[in-house]
Amino acid sequence: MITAENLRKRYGSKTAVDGISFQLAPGKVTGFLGPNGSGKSTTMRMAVGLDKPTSGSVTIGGKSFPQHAAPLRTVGAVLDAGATHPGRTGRGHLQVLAATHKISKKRVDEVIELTGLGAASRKRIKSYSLGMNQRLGIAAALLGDPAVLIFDEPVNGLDPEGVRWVRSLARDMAAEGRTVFVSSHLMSEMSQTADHLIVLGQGRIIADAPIGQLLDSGEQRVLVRTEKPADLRRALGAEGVSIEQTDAETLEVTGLDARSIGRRALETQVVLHELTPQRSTLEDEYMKLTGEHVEYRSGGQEDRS
Amino acid sequence: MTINTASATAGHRPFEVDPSLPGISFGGVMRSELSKLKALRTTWWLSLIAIGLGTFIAGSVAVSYRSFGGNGDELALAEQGTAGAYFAMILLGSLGAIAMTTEYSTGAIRSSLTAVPRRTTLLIAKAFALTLWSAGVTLVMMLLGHLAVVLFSGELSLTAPFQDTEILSMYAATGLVVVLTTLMGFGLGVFLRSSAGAIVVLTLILFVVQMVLAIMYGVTEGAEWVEALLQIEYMALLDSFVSADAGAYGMVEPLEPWQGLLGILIWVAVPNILGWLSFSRRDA
Ligand SMILES: Nc1ncnc2c1ncn2[C@@H]1O[C@H](COP(=O)(O)OP(=O)(O)O)[C@@H](O)[C@H]1O
Ligand SMILES: [Mg+2]
Repeated sequence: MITAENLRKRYGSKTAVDGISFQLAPGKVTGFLGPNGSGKSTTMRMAVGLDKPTSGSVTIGGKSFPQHAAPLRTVGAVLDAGATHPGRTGRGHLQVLAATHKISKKRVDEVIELTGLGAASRKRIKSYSLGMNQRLGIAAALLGDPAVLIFDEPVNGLDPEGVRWVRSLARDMAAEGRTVFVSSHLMSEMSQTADHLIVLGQGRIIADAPIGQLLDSGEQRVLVRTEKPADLRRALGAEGVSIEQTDAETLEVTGLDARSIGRRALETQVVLHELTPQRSTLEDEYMKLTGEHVEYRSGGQEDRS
Repeated sequence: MTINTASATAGHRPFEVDPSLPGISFGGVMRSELSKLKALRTTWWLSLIAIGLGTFIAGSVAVSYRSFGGNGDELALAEQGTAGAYFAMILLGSLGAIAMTTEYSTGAIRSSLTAVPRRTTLLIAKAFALTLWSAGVTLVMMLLGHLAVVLFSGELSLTAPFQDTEILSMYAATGLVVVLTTLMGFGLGVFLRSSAGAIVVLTLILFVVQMVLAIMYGVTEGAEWVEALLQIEYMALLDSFVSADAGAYGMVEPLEPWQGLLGILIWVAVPNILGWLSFSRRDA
């Protein structure tokens, strides 16, 4: 439903999006993951025609967004909380948008109900909390009952209940066959919602795969506890195997699977207390993928490797 | 952490949008723009001040006309009664600018453009809404102003505009100029994207350029090029288009009324075209 081809955006000398291509399928939640400044918002703004690509294209259902006859029914976008006039009421904001597509008052009431804005919808937007602003943004996105939803960091500012609600909303929308595109800089957020992940680092795609596959592709580590770590180390040492000793009797082995380690331990007559394959967490994968791509690295990150 | 592996089961029927539901229509977008205008407090303030000031000035003109003993020239009296139009121009011109610049300063432009991504449509609808609104405000202001002149001068008859086409066309020209100036403010707002910038430029055009040129006219001892500029600056064009005794108090010969109108249209078109070019190309 959303197709990007060699999409590139430069602001002056800064390349925000560096020639990316991807295709989003309906019926799935596609997570758009990347550290701050990696170009997620820029990509989403280009998808709805707010920013013009420097080169390449992004289309929705084969047409650029402005070419659609009913944009609000095609794409619902929450790009940033606060793309509203603070002097208007929430309901006023929704009605102004609804009028452009002759969307009924009844639908305005429905989305107010659905997003839990309730009585606040009659208050001026300037009195809204960040969470209420997010809810209003989502209400506006749902107004046209669109086939595509684009949410840029939708859980920012929401309370835990709101976060859960957004997650299940995204899942429900995808289950209805819509294309759902949700960005976040937090891996943990994506792992709860997304079926498919596109990982972005410094404007380039560094992974584009179903979430399960991203997990499996991770390097296998095996945790080994033994009475004689030094002996075992010697026995396992080989090309492509790396061993890290984390305490007096614990080793973390990468490059060998648990079976081979067990066999080798028997051969060397070393007693094992534990032999556990470690499934790498998505978080680890994310750190690994974006490790070389973060623009601003915080001090403590080096020792994670 | 729970891992979602729903992708394996994904592949439902894609959601279809009912094509019979209405899409964007120009009427819809214009209604939306009108309700945006009406929802702004600034709109009401600027409009009420324009109406109030216009009526007050008309009344004052009439009172002083009476106390100084008028000369019975109804057209001149009616025209003096519209002096408040100058204030309406700066007030409604500012409204025109603000109608656009607040969209930028608040970020609302991004919502507006996701509903109406065709920028030219959005711009024209906004201009139409402003035209309707400013025409309404100007009409009320001029009706009340006319009433005030009739009541306090004791000279002008209520139905004068319908008996004297000169009065009627002077009123119409004045109203038209106020609406066009509103649109000039709009164009400046679209182009400059800043309320302060647009209002300052509008003020320069309405109140300062003429003064500066007049000083230069004196300093250069009537250089021809200054004379030419004095003829085509905005207020001189207004004067030549609207006023029966255009140029009576000016330093240079006024242009013909049609030339005046043409010049005004060009003044209004330039910022609007620049604004449209920038709005349809730049990132929002
Ligand atoms: N309007 C803009 N002008 C200049 N630089 C921008 C603009 N928008 C984004 N950028 C830059 O582009 C890069 C990507 O930004 P963004 O798309 O907001 O990333 P993300 O949403 O992933 O945090 C950043 O380095 C940001 O500073
Ligand atoms: Mg962002």
